Amino acid sequence: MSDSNVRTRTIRVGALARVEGEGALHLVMRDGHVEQSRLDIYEPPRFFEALLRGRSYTEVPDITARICGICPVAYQMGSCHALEKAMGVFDAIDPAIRRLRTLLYCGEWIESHVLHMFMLHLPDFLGYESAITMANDHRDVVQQALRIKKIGNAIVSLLAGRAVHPVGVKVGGFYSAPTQARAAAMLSDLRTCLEEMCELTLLLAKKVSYPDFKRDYEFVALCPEDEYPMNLGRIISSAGLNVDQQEFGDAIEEQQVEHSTALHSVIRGRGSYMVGPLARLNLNHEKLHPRARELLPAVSAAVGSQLPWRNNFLSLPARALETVHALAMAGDIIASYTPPARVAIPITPRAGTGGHGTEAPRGICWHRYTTEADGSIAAARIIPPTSQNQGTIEQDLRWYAETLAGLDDQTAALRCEHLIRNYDPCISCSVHFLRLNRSEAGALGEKGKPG
Amino acid sequence: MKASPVLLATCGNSMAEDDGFGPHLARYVEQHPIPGVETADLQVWPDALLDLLVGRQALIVADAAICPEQPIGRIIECDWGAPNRPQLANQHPLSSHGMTISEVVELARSLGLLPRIVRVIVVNIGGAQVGKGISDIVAAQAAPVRTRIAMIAVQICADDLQLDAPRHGFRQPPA
Repeated sequence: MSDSNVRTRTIRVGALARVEGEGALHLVMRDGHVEQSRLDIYEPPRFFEALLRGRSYTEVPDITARICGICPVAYQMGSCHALEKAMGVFDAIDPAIRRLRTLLYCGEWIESHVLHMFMLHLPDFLGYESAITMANDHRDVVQQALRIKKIGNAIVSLLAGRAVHPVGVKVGGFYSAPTQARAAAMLSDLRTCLEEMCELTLLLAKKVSYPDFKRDYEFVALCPEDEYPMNLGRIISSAGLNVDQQEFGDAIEEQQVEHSTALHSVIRGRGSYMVGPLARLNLNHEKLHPRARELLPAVSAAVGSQLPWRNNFLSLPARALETVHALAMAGDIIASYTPPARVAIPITPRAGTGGHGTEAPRGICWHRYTTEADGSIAAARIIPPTSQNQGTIEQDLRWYAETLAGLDDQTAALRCEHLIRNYDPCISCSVHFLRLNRSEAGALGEKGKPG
Repeated sequence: MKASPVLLATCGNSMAEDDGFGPHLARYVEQHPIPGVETADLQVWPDALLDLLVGRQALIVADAAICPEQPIGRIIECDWGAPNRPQLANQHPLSSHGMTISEVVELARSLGLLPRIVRVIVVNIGGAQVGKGISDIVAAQAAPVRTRIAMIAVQICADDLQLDAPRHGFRQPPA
């Protein structure tokens, strides 16, 4: 074929600036084959690691919570656990404090998962522009989702003072604990929401049509021995990675790429991997709360796939199952709750290093801190889930776009955005506001003119 | 407890210069309450509005607006659905997962939660630079805006009384 017959097609989706993430999609196709796929993240670096240097360890949970408005608990939990290792008190944390941390994380999973599933992701599957238009036809579903999200927010507020940028968490535990009466007052709503979420999970499995797209991912998640992962556990992958929390930072390599201000994470010697609900479910499904586990056969049958799920579009029912798990766990913890004898353990600052990851709604959020003798931060390293998934997202796009060659640019771009939203990245909203650029021919890699 | 018939929802970022008019108004109304009006200071998280609409006769959204052709400090009042509704200052959610007040109101409409009356009262502002405080000229509009809200509330409460009363407002004498 002569060069003149080669058709180069560039699909570029630029995005408006957003505080939590700024991203764009860039695909170059030649004769129906993808030659370049990029998830451009161009938000300026925020330098949180540098910002932490010299600050007291006591400030870290509140500062890192500001990294994300949706999953601040993940940053608080990651920093607390890592600093407790640095201070040598990790194993001294009371079981009662650990239970409250699990409850707090349940709140964050509930509100984050429900927001993503029903307000951001489900409209993609059902063909609506947004949740607002979807609500015209599916009012009951949206109202149920809003109720469930509200209970998630209420749990975070109960334990940490407020739902947005919570402030009740400290290294060693909490600043205070709720009374038994305050906690128990939530139980009725929590149980109602659990029943509703079970119904919604089956609805999502049975009524939503999932694109057939399978890849051989390396799934990476925390894998505790006796519970579904949130705060604790070794970090294990579907391809043989099995490391202690402290070693994870050395098992992966963060790489700079020209088109992204976020670092790309790869497993040393292997490559990209996936973190998040699909990875957690595939590696830990037998540890789900019984209420979630009993739904699994019906959900698997409805989506036509047995675990492990290798279709990333099934992240939607995976999130739904995790939401059931979180609601049921929260109910159990609250039902047996009595205020702990102490809300935090005493800490004597010391020089040390600690690394720890917890399961943010979108995947492992790993922290490592080195402290000076006075407890000030000498070095900090934070690896958020979206940067770990970024390489896999680009590979997904490369594979998926090959199947979209027959579609017009706008439809193809929408499908690719849908695929990106499977990951619930922090840039997901920026791909809600898009401008499509296209060039039919020209040098490979040439960006389209604004349309 | 029965909800107040009128909900005043104030929006804006108090850390972004005149965009802080909504929260400033909320504080002013707290000091100078209006009978029949409950204030919800939504600031930059307007999605909380969805939980506050049940049982209301009217929603009044108070915010800052950017109307370059209007003088700074000008108060503009209209129905939410008016075609010439001024552009609100905070058209982009602070969180990438958040919604603007416009999106929340439209979602409330889709969910059937909106009261029969939705009014918007805005003050035209000079800037919304992060880190600066509200200007004197915009801050001074809190009192007249409160007066307008009070007038709306009186009208709505009067209408409600009429609706509750027998038709024509007066009981007919027995024949």
